[in-house]
Amino acid sequence: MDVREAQKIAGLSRLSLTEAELTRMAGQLTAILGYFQKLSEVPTDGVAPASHPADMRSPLRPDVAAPFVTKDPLVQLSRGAEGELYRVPRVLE
Amino acid sequence: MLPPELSRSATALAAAIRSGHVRARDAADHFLARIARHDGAVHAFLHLDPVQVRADADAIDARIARGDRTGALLGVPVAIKDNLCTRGLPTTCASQILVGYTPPYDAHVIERIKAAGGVILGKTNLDEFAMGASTENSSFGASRNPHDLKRVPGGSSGGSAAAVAAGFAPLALGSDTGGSVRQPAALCGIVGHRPTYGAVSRYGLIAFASSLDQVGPMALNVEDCTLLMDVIAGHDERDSTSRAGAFDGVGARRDGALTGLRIGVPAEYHSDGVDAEVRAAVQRVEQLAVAAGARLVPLALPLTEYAIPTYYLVVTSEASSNLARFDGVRYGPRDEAGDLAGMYGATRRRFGDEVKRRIMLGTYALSSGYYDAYYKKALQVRQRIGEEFAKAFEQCDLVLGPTTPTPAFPLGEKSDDPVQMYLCDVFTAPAPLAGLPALSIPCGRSKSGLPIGVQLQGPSGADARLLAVARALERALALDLSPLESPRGA
Repeated sequence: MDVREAQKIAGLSRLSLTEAELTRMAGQLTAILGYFQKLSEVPTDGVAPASHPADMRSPLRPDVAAPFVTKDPLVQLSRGAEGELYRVPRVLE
Repeated sequence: MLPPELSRSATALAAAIRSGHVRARDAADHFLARIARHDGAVHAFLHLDPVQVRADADAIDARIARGDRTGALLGVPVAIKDNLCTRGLPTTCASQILVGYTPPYDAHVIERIKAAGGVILGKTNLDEFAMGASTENSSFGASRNPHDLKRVPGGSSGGSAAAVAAGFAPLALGSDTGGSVRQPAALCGIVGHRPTYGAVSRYGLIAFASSLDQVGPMALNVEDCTLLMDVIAGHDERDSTSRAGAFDGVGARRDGALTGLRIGVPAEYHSDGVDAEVRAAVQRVEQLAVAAGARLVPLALPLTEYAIPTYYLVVTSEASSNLARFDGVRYGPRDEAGDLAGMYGATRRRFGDEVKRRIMLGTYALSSGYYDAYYKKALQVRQRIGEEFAKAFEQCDLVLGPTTPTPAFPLGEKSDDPVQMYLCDVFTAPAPLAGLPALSIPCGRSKSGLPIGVQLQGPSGADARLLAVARALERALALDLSPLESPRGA
C-alpha cells in the first residue's frame, strides 16, 4: 500500500491523518497485509463464508412497542443537542 | 482488613456477609484501602468513586439489617472493564474519543450484578476499545503486571486481571473478542472464562467486533469464576444473539469431572514457538489429568496457524463499521472543523494509533476490489476452523493447551510491532472464531516467578463442563491462589 492508497482509505474511514502518519500507516499496513497473505495457502473453493459462529441462532421476540425510557438523557449526551435533535455543521449550501 | 480466607474467596466473602460475620462496608473498605495503597504502581483502575462504593455497601448492609439476605454476590465488590456501560460512572473504553461520556444506563451484566447484591467497585483499564494484548494501547497509560511491575498484565482486559491478582477486587468482568479475558488472566495468574457466544448478553458492552465479542468473568479461582458466570449468564432480549438456558450453574459445580474424560491435545499447541517453561507446565497438567482418570487424545488442528490472519481480518472489518459511530455527533467530545466531514475527521483524530490502524485495515478489507481477497477469504477460513473444531470434538470432550505462548513480556517489547503483538493471540483467537467457550486457569510459574496459564476449550454450550473440569484440575494442581500481598518488582 502506498501513501496515495493510504490517503484514499483514510478518507473512506473518515480519518484525518498527517503526511507523516500516512507514510507510517502505509508501511505498517503493507507489512500486516503481507502477513495476511498466508491465508491464500488454505483451500476454500466451495466453502460458504461464515459471518457468525457456526451454530448461532437468533431467537425472535414479539414485535411489540415498548417505552424507551433513556431517550432524553441519551440525546442530551450530544455536544450538539437541541431538544430532541442534534445540531451538526451545515451539509448542503 | 479482611482475614486471608475471605480476601482470597468471593464465595466465602459473600457467605460471611450473608451470615452477618462481616459487613459489606468492611469488605468495601478492605479493597478500597488496598487500591489506595498499591494502585499507583499497578494502574488497574481508570475510574474509582470511593464515596459511592461505600454508599452502595452501606445500602447492602441496611438491606441485610432489614432481614433481606438474598443475592449470590451479597456485598461483594466487582471491578468492571471500562468498555461496559455503568449508569452514572464514566465509561471511556480508555479512549480520548469517549472522555466525559457517562452512560445513563447500565449494561445487562451490570444490572445482573447489582440485582445479585454485588457492589460496583470501579472501572478498569484496557487497550483502547479492547484493541490490544498488553493495555499499552490505553490512552490513559498502561497497567502493570502485579507479579512484575516492569511487565505487561496482558490485554485487553489487563486492568481487570491486574486488579484481581493484586487483591484490589475479588471478582472482575472483562470482555473477550480474541482472548482479552483469557490472555490477561494467564499472564496475571488468575482464572478467566470466555463464555459460549450468546451465553452472556452484550447489551451495554461497547461493540468492537460483534460476531466475536463476549463478556466474561475473572476471579482468583474457578469456584468464584463460576459464581460470577452464574450471575451474568442468561437470556436478554436486548441482545439478538443472546440464548436462553445456555449455562448450567449446577452442572458447573459438580465434582468427578476428570474420570473417563477425553482430553484433546493438538500437536500444534506444543510447537517450538511455545516457551519451554510454558510447555512443561501444560504437560504437567496433562499428567495430573491422566492420573485422575482422564485419557489424552492426540489431535491435529492444522488450521491453528491461520487463525490469527483470519481473526484480524474479521475483527478489523467489523471494527471499521462499529467505530463509525464515534464521530462527534451523538456522544463524546466534538471537534469542529468547518463542514460535517471536517468535524468527523477532527473528532476522530482522538483515536489512538492502533484503533486508526484497525479501522484502516478493516476499511481496506471491505473496500471494492479487495473484499473477496481479504474479507470473504477470511470468512471461508473461519468456516473451516469451525469445522475443524467440530471434527475434533467428535474424538474428545475438550481441548487442552497453553493459553499464551509465553509468560508476561516486558512493557514496550512488542508495542512498536503490530504483527508481533497480534501473535500473542495465537491460541486464544481460534475459539471465538468458532463461537466456542474457553477458559484459562493458573497452572504454574516460570523460574522467575511469572504465572503460566492453561487453556481449556470446549464445544458450544459446554461452559459448565469446562468449569467443572477446571475446578478438578485446580484441585489437582494445588497452587496457592491467594492474591499478592503487594505488587512485585517496583
